[in-house]
Amino acid sequence: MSELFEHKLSLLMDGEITPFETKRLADEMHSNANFKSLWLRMNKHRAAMHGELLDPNLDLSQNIMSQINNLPSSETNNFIKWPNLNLFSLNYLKVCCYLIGFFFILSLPLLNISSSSNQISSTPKNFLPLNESLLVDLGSNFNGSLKDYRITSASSMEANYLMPGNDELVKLKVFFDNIPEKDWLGTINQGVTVHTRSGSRPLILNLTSDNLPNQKLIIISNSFHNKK
Amino acid sequence: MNSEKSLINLVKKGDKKAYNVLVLQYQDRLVYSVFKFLKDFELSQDIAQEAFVKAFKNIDKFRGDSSFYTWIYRIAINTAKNSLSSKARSSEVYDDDLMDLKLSESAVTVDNPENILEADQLRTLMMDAIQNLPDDIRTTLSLREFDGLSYEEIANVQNCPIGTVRSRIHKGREILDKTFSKYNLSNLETNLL
Repeated sequence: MSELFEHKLSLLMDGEITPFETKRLADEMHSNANFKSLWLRMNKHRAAMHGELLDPNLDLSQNIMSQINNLPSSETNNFIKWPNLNLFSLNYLKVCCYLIGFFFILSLPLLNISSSSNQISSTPKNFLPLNESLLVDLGSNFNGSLKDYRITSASSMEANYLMPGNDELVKLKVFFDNIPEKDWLGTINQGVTVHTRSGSRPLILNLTSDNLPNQKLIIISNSFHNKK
Repeated sequence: MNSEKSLINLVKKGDKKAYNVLVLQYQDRLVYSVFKFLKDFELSQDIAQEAFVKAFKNIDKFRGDSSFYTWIYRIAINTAKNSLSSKARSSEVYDDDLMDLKLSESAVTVDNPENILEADQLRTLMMDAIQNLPDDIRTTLSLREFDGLSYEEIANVQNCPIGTVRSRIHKGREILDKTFSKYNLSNLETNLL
């Protein structure tokens, strides 16, 4: 028997040992008869010292543990177990689970809508480089140099182009295919509007300028049609 | 640290091995307490045994407000009272106050069977063994066993590291075990093995 375990038994007697070690000692005592015997003797020393020992050979533990091991499970089901629930509680839990499942299924469409709207709102940021390149590409149709641009909504942008050789400014509004007609029509009240495509993606473009006449804007807009 | 609380928590989770540790720890003391009440050694063992089983079945009701021994002691004494009441073992009329008076007696005064004589001899032997321990070990062990001081308190009293207290107490118990083992424990060892 190891000196270390004997030492720990002494600590266990005085309550000076950690919960982890306590568990370890209980397991060790169960598997090692010598160890158990030492624990029994140590407690008999103590009982003898205090005048509380009647029979040095007394050991009820086998009978007690045998009785405990033979107890019907109904008499030992009070222990903290998971789940520590009676039949009523289990039924209650089942109903709760059904309700949670039911409401979860009901909420799925809402979750999808929410998810879709998140995607739309994040589009301008996520696709900003692509949109900028799109604007540069659109400007190349009429040799316009992209001066600045801004994202006006989840489905629309505005850009200003400088025309080559002078300071004339062309303003281009770009609407993506998924914007409702009433929304883009409401923002356009002048200039030239054309329907075109960027690859497979339909676009609505509106050209305006403070300096250029509409005739010039029509010529520019034709460049988008020609490209298509 | 509270090892007893740890053991109780394990038992509450259904750990029977942990409960066996408690049984081995308290059985002698409990049998002695019941014997003081019943004056019947055989019956005292039965009552103690029944009390341990009852305590196990109701361990979830033990809240830890008192020590485990105090709790099981109450169970045992109630069981003993019920036993006396139902069996009407003596010609005395059952009297709760009388029972409590008997409980308060500190000495075993009647029905001295052979095993009690043996226990008395053993106690004398143990006390002699304690007296023969080296001074530092004897003092440390006495502070623990008879004055109930914690290791930390003993370290403060003796102005020494707590590790020294641990070692002295362990050493003292080791010496006592050798003395105890010289006494007739062969039956006990055989039963366990």
